[in-house]
Amino acid sequence: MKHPLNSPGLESSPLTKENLLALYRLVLLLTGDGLATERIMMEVLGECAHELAQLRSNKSSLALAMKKLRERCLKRSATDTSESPAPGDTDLFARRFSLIPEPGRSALALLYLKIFPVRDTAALLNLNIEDFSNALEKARAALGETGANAAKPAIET
Amino acid sequence: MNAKTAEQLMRCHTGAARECGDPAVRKALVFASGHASLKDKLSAQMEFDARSEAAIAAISLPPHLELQIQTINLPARSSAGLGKVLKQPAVLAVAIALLVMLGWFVYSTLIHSEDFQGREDVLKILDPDKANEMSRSEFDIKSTEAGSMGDLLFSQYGFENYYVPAQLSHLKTARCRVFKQDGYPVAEVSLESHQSLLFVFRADDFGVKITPSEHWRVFEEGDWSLGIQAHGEVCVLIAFKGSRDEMKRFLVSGF
Repeated sequence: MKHPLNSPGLESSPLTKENLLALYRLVLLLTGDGLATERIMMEVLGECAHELAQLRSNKSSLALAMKKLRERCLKRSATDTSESPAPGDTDLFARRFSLIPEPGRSALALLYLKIFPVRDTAALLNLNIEDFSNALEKARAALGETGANAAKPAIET
Repeated sequence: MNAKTAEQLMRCHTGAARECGDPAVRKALVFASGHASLKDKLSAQMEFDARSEAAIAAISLPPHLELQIQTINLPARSSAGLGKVLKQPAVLAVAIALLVMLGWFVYSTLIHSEDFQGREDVLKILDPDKANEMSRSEFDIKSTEAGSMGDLLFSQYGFENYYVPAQLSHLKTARCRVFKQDGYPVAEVSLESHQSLLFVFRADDFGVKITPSEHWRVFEEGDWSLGIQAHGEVCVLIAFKGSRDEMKRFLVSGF
């Protein structure tokens, strides 16, 4: 059976399957909620579909989609309404990850997802490299404290 | 690089040092791996990140969400897509072929069109009614070949631009004259074959615009059939009473 994302429609779309997976992981890490992630993905990608089509490179498309999705996630965090009834094994890590305070949460998620080079990631988050580094340090420490990660990082302050 | 800077930069990386694309961060990782206190911190960070990344790698895009995203029908990147398509050699070749065919079509249409700029003035030169009634006394009797009339017309009438195509140059002439039409000279030679009339004149004098070519434009006017072609700045017009098909045969064979 042909993979749905390999159909002609999406093949020619601005976002590749690989990019969509990276964006899904990002949103899930930021929200910690599977249902909310799906809803946000559908809403935001639908809203900015035409903007994405105007961009010439995958990198630009990905940056725009990432920015829009993150904004929606942060807006949702303000209300902090859980939509998923019970987290699965994978969602558990994401749920704990989502407890990391911003901007460290976004910084660490983007670092792990390796979507953009380090300095581009910092720039997208409006951080200089020093603040980006400090945000990552706090985020790793926070993630370690949640117990999501089996071993406590030796870098906690 | 000092330890403080190295520690700051090493936090901005995850994974093996050789995978780092940022030169400053890579330098910091090398520095940290050889530094007494930073070495352990870097090692712990890498272990911690490896576990986190393994957890993230387990997250997959739900199949039903893939299908739902497909229904969004993200529009294709129109301008970039078109640019890519046009740059493909096969598409480029087809586009060039179409342009060549279009150019040939336009050229062919221009060449074969019966209509042309200055046609009305050409018909005034012939003036079929006048030609029917023209007194033979207006012509000088000159029996030779059409191709040999140039010297005579120049020496006797001062006409400089005489030209006759090679396929008609052997035709026998009966009479000739040079007359002025709207103040401009026109050489007229009557031929024995088909009792046809040959006119030679400068195209610019009568506002005739025909692409210079060996091709004859053949058309009819009343009982007359006419063929015209341009050679540089000179136009050659031949006319006789008959059908268009007869004129076409005549221009090909000279008979």
